[in-house]
Amino acid sequence: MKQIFIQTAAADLLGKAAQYKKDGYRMVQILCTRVPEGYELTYSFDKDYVMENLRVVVPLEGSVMSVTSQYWYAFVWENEIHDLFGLNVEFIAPEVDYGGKFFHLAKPMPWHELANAKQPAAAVKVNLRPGLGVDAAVKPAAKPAAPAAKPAEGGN
Amino acid sequence: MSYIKKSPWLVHYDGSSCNGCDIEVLACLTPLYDVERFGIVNTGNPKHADIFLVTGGVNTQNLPVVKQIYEQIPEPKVVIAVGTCACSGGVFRDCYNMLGGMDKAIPVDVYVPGCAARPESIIDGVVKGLSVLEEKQKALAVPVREKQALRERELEPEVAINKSQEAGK
Amino acid sequence: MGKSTVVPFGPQHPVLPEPIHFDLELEDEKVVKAIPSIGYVHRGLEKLVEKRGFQEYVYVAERVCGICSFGHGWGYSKAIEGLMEIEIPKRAEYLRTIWHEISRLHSHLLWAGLGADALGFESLFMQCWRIRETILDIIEQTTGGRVIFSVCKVGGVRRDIPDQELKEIVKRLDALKKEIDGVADIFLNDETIHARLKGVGTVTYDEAVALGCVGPTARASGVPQDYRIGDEGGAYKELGFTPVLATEGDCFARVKVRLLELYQSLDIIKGCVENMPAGDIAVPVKGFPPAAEYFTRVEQPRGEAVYYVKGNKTKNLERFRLRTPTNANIPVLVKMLQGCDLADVPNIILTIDPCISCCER
Repeated sequence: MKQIFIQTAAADLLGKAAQYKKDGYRMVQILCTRVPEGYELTYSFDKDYVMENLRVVVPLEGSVMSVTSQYWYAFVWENEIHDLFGLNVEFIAPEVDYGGKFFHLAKPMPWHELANAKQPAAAVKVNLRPGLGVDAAVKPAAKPAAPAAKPAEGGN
Repeated sequence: MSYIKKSPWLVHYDGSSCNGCDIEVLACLTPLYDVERFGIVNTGNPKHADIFLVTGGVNTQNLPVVKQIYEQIPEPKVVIAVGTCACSGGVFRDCYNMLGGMDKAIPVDVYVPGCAARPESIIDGVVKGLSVLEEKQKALAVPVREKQALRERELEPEVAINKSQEAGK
Repeated sequence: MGKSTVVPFGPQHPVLPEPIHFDLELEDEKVVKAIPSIGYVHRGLEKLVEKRGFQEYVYVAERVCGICSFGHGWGYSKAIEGLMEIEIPKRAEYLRTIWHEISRLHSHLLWAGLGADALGFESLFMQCWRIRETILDIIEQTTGGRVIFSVCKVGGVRRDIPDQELKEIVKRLDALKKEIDGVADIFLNDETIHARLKGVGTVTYDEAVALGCVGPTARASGVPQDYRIGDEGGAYKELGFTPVLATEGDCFARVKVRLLELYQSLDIIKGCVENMPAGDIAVPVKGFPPAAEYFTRVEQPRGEAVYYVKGNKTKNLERFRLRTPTNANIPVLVKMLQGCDLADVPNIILTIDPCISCCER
């Protein structure tokens, strides 16, 4: 399946959504991923089984305009994003803005924190044995001379 | 199984189940497995039920619901946890919204494992539950003379006190 | 001005197999507004990708829903195969299509039985589920499980169906056709069912498009929305496919579409068996998913489901997202419930074929 991703600024979102609506596109879903910069939103639109995705990155304290003025049924995903991620979606159509009470959860905004799995293994420093330098664990194997020099420095 | 002594009615509720065990519970009622010939009826009203068949794990949203249904069922009652998710949380036990198996919410009498639990296992679990129900019924039964005395004390306290004083003389 | 009341519907209700809650604001017997409240079945399993390896996660993805189980396993596997650019053998593609269509048969018959039960037609419920047992026998014979198949994996399928067995299965499904005829005859011609379902919960073509509904709910209003038309690869493209449509858009039209889809699924299975290619059933999967993302779709019995995966070069995926058809059909349900009678609420909710565990994941 062809993957089309179009980077968009948050300010242009409503305009692009209106254009898609005029061209007869159907909105498929809104997806949110927590990334180090904040939230990465993907708005998917479909026509004749070809899907185009708008990619918007919103900072942590930022907010995004609701598209319910163009696509009324987007309220399901916008309420869900607000409840699960804690992202502020502004101006959802009043009759379907459930004010945080759409999705009931044990812990509010469970996706708000960044996942721990993002720590790459090489960043963890390990003290192997006294005398062996801390950097020996992450030294690449292609330089055999360097580890031999290190223990002398580490020992001192 | 003492099928003549009791016709147990069951109420079924889905906690956080994926539906697999629920459709196997409903499959027990259908012509191939047919538990209705033993007098087991699936009722929607907890106040009419003896057996509480519960599937899926517990999350904070359905914890008060499960407790409320459990309290509405009159004594003696039996709780049967159907499926691995109801027993211990299943594949979802590490999820953020799950508290665990059904025994985190209500006391469970029979555990039926399986993912999804087969109708044969569910029927076996219900039969085991019936023998637990019989034991509970015996433990609950109050001798007739005591029951009569209790009722008299409630309805006409003075008559009851006079009777006991006369009996004591 | 009539008397206003608020009636809580669910989560425990005799007609609902799954917990969902609606606060129905009534004026006398008419529903003025329906406010949904979900979260009873929310397990948060999308976050479980961080703890389970990408190949192991198929087992979790399958258990999103017990009725649409195979479709979810297929969608997830297809998404990872697209992400890692793995091409699976043709035979695996056809086997997956056969299992998915058998899954559609069992899902529609299950739904028909529950719909009849909600109307009070218990005997029809029993007959639909009795017929369904033949299909579950076929599933158990070929995969080992009645409800959760666990036969789809990243790279293909885990079991093969020998050609001789496939021919026998087609013979059994042909015998099943007569029984489905009997049940469909009652559904389509019974006066009480007409009286209770015709004209109830009508959704026009324009409303269906404006509300973004998917699956038989959309097809009953005349919208030709079926991902099997647009699928770029797979057996559907090679066999050719036209969706089943109806125009009235009421509850009765949705029943009609699902019953006709039963016959269509039988034809698709026959076509797959006749054109079954020979070969392997799986390819080995090496390495980890790259740091890229991939969208794919599957036409589940309830509608189009969208699967999104994002890899990060490790054993665990960064993100997995599943937009299920019931999730897309909630807006149309909220709209349909406005202005209906209280007695029609269970029928309307059941005609979109709600799968709340899919919706809430």
